[in-house]
Amino acid sequence: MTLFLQQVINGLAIGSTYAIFAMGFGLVFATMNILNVAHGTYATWGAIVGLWAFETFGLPFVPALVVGVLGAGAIGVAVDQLGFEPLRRRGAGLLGPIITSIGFWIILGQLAQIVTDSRIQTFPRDVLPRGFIRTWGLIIPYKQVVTIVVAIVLLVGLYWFVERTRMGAKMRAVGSDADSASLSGVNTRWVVIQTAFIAAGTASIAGILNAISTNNVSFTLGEGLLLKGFAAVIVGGFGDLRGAALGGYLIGLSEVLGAQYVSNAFRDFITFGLLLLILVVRPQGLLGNRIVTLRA
Amino acid sequence: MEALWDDYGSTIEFAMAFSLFALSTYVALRAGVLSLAAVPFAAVTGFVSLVLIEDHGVAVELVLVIGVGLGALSALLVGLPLLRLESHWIALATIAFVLMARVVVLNIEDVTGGSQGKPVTRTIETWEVLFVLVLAAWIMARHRRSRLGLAAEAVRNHPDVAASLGVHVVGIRRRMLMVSGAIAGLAGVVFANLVQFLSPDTFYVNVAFVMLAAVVLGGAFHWSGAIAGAFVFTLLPELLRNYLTEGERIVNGILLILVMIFMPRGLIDPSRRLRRRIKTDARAHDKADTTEDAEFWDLNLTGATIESVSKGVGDGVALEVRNVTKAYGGLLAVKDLTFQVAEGSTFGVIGPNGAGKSTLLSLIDGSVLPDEGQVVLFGEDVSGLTPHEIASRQVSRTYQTVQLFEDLTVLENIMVGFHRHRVTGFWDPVLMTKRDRREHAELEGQARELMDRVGVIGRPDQYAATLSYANQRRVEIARALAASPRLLLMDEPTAGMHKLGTQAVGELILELRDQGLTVVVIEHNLELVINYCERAVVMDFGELLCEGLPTDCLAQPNVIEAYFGRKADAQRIESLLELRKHPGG
Repeated sequence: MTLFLQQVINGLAIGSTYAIFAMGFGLVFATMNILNVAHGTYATWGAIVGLWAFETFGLPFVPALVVGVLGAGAIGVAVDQLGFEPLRRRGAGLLGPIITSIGFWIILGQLAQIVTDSRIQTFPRDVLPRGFIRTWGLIIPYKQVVTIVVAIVLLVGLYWFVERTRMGAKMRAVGSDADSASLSGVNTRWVVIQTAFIAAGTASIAGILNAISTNNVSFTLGEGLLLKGFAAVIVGGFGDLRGAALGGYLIGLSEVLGAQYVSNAFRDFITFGLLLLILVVRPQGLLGNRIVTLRA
Repeated sequence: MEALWDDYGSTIEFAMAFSLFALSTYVALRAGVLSLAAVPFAAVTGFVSLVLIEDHGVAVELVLVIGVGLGALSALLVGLPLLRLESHWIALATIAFVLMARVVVLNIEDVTGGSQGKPVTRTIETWEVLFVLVLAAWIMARHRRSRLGLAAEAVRNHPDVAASLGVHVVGIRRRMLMVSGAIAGLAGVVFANLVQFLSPDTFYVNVAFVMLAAVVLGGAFHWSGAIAGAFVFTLLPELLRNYLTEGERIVNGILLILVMIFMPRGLIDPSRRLRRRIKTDARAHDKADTTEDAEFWDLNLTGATIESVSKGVGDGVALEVRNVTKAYGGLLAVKDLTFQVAEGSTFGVIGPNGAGKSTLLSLIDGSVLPDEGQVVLFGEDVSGLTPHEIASRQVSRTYQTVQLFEDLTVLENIMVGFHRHRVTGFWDPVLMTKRDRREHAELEGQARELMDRVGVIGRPDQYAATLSYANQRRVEIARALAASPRLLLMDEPTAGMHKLGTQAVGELILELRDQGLTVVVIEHNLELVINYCERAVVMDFGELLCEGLPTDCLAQPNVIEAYFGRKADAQRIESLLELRKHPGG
């Protein structure tokens, strides 16, 4: 039982980074209808910039995190305005933006490889308080506590922002019908820029937390997050932030519990098998409500 | 030349292998399936070829043949659960397959060498790679406008319309995915032979994303686009390597972004020149409806109306709607509707916007399922059948907003309508059989006749989207007729037409009726219903207000008041009825 609980906490910790990542990824899909393959590189760049701020200026963790968020957010806005905005004006469908995002994925990935010199770096071990909480026979490292708490704060905050604030209402309006929103006086471009910033910013937080928990800052960091984020959003449901978060935690749990109780070697197989099962049985996702099957 | 081959020979070989990946992706995309599955299909055949060549010494030529079958089989299996999903969900699901393939490769170490990978001995010759590529390209070129090719185009443009013409949407997608799998199977064998080393990362997401991007970069509307894209993607970074030490692939990323902005249909677009002309002709175009048609179109109007022609020939019941109800959420679109349409008659459905007329049509053609009640066609209960099954009962339809296949020409649009009657199979166009040529020539002739018959003004080889609105409507009617229906459903066929055009449609309806067709017309245009329909129903808020002779229905005070409301409309109807009593006055 203790082992099970320990693994559940491990699963929640790793799932937290997936959930944070998936919410931004899902938000972009819901409001802008973009399946952004480059989203993972925002996480990579967030970690690279954060680590750079940490090492070069000796900033403490939180300011370094903020620098990482600002850096990734700026990249996200630049990508959107350079690449996606022209397509949006033309009213391109789904495929065009995917291809553009593959373009940015190549560029940002290659640049990250050049900047890091293809080497794996790490945040110092004391970037977060070291040590453990011992309770009920469980050992929970502080860094897991921080990850889980940051995730909860971000998820609740983002959900509150989108569902309860004026700005969030504008975002949802742009998501459901950009033209009508624009006609009713919403500055859609500004909303889109903010959404792009929030999405890239949250991706970078996921990236930094993931980098710390796996001791890995490299140009491939975002790749894993992207694939898990994909899976999370599909499992939870597109267009619903709670769904994306739920999906993230489920993917994290299935990964850790699958490795513990089924087979370590096949843990990704279980994750992506779950994904495939959901796609076949309930393609709109657990909390989604889009109709996605054909009547033919 | 030789020196050039020394420098770039292997790059060109790889470009050919990537072309196969791209062609595979292109084939699926043609049927509207956004698939990244070429990579896992290739993974299967790649590793099978590793085993066959290394452990059993099988000749690579034989392995290629096995690869084709294995690729197609994998595609068939993968397609079973996925093909009923919408296109971008299919894309996501195929990504899941890419990811799972890698885990499998990692975990069957005996076969694949696990994370270490295993070497493959190269036994394939350059000319063999070229031969395989030419063969794949030849098949795609020959299927550009074949029965399968046209159906695939139709499915990609408008799946629901394709189904209404009797095209089995999922069936076409399955076929194209199997062709995609077969080509990917070849790609796997060729690629394994060229890289000479397979690891779990050989066939992974990177390749999948890059190949999709290459196809769209090159142009997803022509088979040569896929090959062009693959060559650009492989050669360009290699050329840059002469000047850069790292990051040479960035150029591909930049190129992708620029092409998406400035050439969204890719580098190779067969319709580019035509589309450019549309832009310059745009203004002349707007006039076409009012002047060109009336001036240059010999309408051959006879002045026939429903009263001046003989009664229809059929005596059975073509269509029976029994207690049909359909609700969207809380809104009742159609409420307990019951009526019959006699075989060989013309029948009007009238009602204000939102009366549920178009929903009724979708309930009949099977694209919407009723909550309650039955639809009976020629004595057979067809409730619950899919649209293409209903189409195979010889039912065709036109749409309220024109739904032409925009990537096809006028003639090709009409030829999609022949889909169910064609006998040529997959190999006929590839082997250029006599049967294929004969069928093509015959159907082209018939399509031209249909164009004349409905009075399309325009060239057969013109892209359908370049026609005026009224002419697009006419093409749609011709396409519906190409499917040789017994029951023709028309949703506002005269919207956007001038008076003479409307009359021509009315007379066409009568002509079709005299040949035994049953025609159901939804119309706002009361003149059309009064002059050309034997019976009619009036709907409002999903309910039946009246069924009977159009003139009787429209004379009913409750119909006029409850539903046309305003006095002006009532007067207009009265004057129309007056006209009917004194034709020509």
